[in-house]
Amino acid sequence: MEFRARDYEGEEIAAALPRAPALDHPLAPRPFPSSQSQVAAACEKVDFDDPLRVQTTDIAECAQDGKHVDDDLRRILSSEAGHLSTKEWALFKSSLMQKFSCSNMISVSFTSDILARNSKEYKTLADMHMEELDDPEMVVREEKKVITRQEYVSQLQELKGEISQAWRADDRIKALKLSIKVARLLLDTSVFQFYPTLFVLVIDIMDMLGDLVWERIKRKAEYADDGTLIYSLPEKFQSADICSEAKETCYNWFCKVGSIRELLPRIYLELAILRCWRFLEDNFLLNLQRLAMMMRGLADPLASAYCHLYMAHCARTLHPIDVGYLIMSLSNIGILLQRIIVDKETFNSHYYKNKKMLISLMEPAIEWIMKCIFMDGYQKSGNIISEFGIGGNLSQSTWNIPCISVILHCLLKQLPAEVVSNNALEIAELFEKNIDISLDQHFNYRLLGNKLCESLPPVTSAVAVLDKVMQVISQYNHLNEYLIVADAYLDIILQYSMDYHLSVFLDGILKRAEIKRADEHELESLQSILVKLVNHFDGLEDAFALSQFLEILDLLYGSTCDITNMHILLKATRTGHVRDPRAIQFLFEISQALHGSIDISNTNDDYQQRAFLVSRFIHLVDFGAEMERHLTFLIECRAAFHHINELKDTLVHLSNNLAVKAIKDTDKHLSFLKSCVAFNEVTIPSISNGIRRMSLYLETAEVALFGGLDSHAEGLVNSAINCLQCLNVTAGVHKSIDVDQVMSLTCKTCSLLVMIPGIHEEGIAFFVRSLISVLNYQSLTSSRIKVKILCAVILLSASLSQNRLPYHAISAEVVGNDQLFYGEPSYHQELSSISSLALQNLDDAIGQESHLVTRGSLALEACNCLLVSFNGNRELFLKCSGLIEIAKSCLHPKDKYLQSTVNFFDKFSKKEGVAFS
Amino acid sequence: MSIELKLSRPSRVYRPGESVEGKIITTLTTSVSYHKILVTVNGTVNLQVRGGVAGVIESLYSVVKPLCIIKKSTEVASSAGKLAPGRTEIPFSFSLSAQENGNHGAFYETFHGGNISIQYLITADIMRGYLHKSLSATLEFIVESDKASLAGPPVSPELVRFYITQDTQKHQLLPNCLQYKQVMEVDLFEDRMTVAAIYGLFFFANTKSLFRKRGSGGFRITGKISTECSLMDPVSGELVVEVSAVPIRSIDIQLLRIESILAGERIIADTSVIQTTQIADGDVCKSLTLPIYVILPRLLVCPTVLAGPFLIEFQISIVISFQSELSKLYPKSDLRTPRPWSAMLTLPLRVFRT
Repeated sequence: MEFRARDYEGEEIAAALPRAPALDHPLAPRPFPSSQSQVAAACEKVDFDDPLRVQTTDIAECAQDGKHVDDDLRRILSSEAGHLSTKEWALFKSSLMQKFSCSNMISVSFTSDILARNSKEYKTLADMHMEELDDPEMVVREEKKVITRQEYVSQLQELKGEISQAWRADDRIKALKLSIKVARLLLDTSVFQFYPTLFVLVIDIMDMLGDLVWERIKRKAEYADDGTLIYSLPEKFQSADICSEAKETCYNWFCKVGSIRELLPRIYLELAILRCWRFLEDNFLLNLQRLAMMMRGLADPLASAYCHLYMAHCARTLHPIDVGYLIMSLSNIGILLQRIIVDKETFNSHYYKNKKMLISLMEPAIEWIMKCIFMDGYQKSGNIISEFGIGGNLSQSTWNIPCISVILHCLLKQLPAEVVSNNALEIAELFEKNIDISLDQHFNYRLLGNKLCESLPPVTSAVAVLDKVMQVISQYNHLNEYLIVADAYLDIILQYSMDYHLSVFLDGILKRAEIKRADEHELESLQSILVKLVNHFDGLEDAFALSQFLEILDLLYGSTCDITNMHILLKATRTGHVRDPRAIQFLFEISQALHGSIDISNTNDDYQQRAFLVSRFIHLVDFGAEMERHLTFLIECRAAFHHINELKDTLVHLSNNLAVKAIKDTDKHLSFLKSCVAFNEVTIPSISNGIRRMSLYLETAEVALFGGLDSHAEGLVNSAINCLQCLNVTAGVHKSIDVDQVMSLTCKTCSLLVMIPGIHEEGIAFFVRSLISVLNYQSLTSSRIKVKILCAVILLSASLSQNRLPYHAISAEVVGNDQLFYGEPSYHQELSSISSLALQNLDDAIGQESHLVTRGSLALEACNCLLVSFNGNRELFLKCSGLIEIAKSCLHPKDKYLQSTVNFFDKFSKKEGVAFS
Repeated sequence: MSIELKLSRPSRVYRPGESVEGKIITTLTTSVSYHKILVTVNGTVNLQVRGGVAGVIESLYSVVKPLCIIKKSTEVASSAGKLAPGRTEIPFSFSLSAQENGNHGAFYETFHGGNISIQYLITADIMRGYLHKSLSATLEFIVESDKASLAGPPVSPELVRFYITQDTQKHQLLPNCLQYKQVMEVDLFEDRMTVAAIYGLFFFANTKSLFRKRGSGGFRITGKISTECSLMDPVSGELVVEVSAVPIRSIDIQLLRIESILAGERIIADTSVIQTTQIADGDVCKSLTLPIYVILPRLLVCPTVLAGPFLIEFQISIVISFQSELSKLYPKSDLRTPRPWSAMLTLPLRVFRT
């Protein structure tokens, strides 16, 4: 078959779509439709209102609506407050149990006193003769028995069951008696660490009892004796709604509870049924206040704190408006704390430790109470703050809560950030005045710093606060404390760019770090400080301008160092180009450090991020005109980051970039170009992924061709085809995307081959033959790919046979094949033999395709290809009509591709009818 | 076959002058014929002198003749009849009016004490002739006097101030409780230690601590408490520990009752504890106001009665117990007994009803 002679330029002009210049930019904003009809049309359309583009007239209405909504919301919120706090309470309880739980196997020792009580409880399960166990000797003996936490917990669970069972059996007195016994367990605070757990267990039972009593009285109020509903109580009932009988029962309960001898169980029981005050009177604030006062009788600080905590919890169910009782609670706890603090016996270190422990156990209670104070909204908090002496004149403040730093801490935690920032200096002064052992002071300063960051104070007061803080922390010897505070204030310093303060802070860090190597916590703080610094400045140069920055960076090691480095890299790569050689050197070292630690932490995500950052950095490095240096840098990178596979791609791309730049910019580029290509030739084989290797080979080949290095290009294309060969071994495993990629890469190879001069001894045919053999060799490649590639081969030989090639290499040094082999018969013979080889394979490939639709479209594709490539003759006609038959048998007759191909074929056969016949 | 009494008020509380209404509920398997149905109200003051409180001879006549407050019977059904099987309710009512009470004394409030008890009972009897045992049921109801019948309206319920110091105590106290005085003596002989030896070894052992706590010895507990109290209100007041050299173990409020009975020529009085209420557990903070809040128990407390043959009075007692090794030797000791490790103050409490 003869190749058809083509006039590429003429065909292009003929096939090109007509072009007309556009008046508007298609993406430019359109002017508003002015004509009436358009408006009407717009109205008819379904309205998709953009809520952000509401007309201005609506805004006033909206504002009014907003007010309503706000009110509604507040109402809803207030009604939900109870639910919310129950959820929070549950969380709080579980955290309490976890925070201070001793491990299950650690035994807890109790004095025989408690155990005797416990065994009594056990007897009550069996028989009711409790008195027998009131053996005086038992109490006197100071014998310590050991009971595990697990046992204790299960005993209490059992008791709980016992109580509810007694209640169900209408033996309410027994239920009450058992509950009192349970409450008495809280009298024993000898095992500090167990107390919170005990508390949670006991109040669980108290709450249950409270619910039972509440339900009983409510039932009495709502139902008659015979069970008929007489009155359904509304959610917010008044005491007047309650019938006297229910009131009587309710009062009886308070009498019974009031007759408990011991203070602590009495308070707990009353708190458990506190809700029931609602049946008796509408104003129960006095009761709350009395209970808070009564708790002053509890001398044990731990018992007292948790008792107050229980009150705060129980009082929530009453929704009191006033929080005076909570303030009183705090003041009571405060007095007890003060007593612990002032106690002289601090010399004993063991005792001191115990004290710290004690205070840390009391802290959750204080925190919760503080939370309750602020839970009811911020409006009232103004008064509360003045109650604490903040905001007013400090010297004259009515400070009725002893100022203990742990209480201050909890207060500060709950205060809204704006309030804190308005009174920052006063608060800092308060801290200074109240230094005690209840809390390490740096926590307070940190909290203040954090709050100030949330809501920035005005500059003047910020400076004053910072001066104060710096004065305080300059006395800290411990690095950790210093870091914690410095970290908290860094944001403010940076925000207001207080350079003096910053450098003092940083100097302080360095001074304290000299003494010893930073430990884990300190590292974290250091990391946070450095990251803040890095993120704050616009460019890395500013950070480096700080003399201490690098020194502090040197203090880091391990994973914190890596994280900080990653932040620095991220920052550096965000700014476009990295040109400064010092910065390049620094970042290179950082990257090296990151690379060095990759193996240790082989989490995939981490690796990905690091690889990305390093690649991005290298990508952004720019040496300007010093291209040789850039190439050297790339070589260094290749050596330094051998673990990162993805990086090699970047390196090849970059070196290609360099080469292209060199070709464009300079005249004397050849040797540099060669070294670039050589760099690639060395780099590419180390890439494991065959497809990427192949595409990089092709890319480099293009560059080489562009630079006029035709022999290099030839070698590179050869390597690419070799890649294909290697690739095919595993082709079956490749995903479909990869297969498509292989296909397009192969087609690209073919198109490249048009330009590459066939100076190889076996000529251009060598590549094509090896391509075809690769195709045949690998039976697993799908027939679709085979057909496509074979078509490409046919098209390639057709274009090579032309007297004038469709395109040439840009470089003048590369001679096109058309000039090289003009009129050479053996060349043409070679080409036609290739095409006939391809044709043979094509038939087989189409026949192999099992999927009908695919087979049909493949046949059409081949048909088109043949029609374009060859001159019309009988052989071609037969072949094409055969292909169309195949397509017709496979495809729907109305398939557009089929129809257009048939049309094309008919036109063809008409035009060249003579030849066919 | 059961018979049961039920009153119109579930609380079973009635006041003089009111009429008590109720019903007899019979649940029968077979029909029962009756002769008559009788409801009897019986209010008595039972007086009893326990052995030990009084002398041997008095204890022989341990039961003083009970005083009758009210006793009357009403026939619910005067003529004989028959009760159907199943549940039958027979209503009855009688009044607690003083006029009807005639020659008897006033209606005292129901009170269940140790030696004196004032009780009102309703008994229902279904008489079934001589051959059958009569069916009967008894129910106690509670009488609360209305304020009109009281001895007088309460004087303004003022709080009484009190002071408890080492000087107000008549019994022997722990030596540490008396530190205040000792410190004074040490001051005198401070530079003459030989003289100090006169006070003996015990004193020596304490000198060191005394020197340290000089001037802060002793104890002083002040406060105020109501001595007149309505039955419906709690006994209230407040208490402040101003000074205490020895740590406090507990502060308790005891409610005491004094029952006095005229037996022959003598009045035999017996004091017993009704209720103990702890208001401080452990060494409480100094100069902090602790509330006193004691709910009066029902039935065990009634308005103070000063009748001829018997008296019912109440007292309130504040007991301070100090921490002491000694106290552990007497774990079951009564708070009322004066012990070296405790200080106390007893005040009369007049109870009235509003």
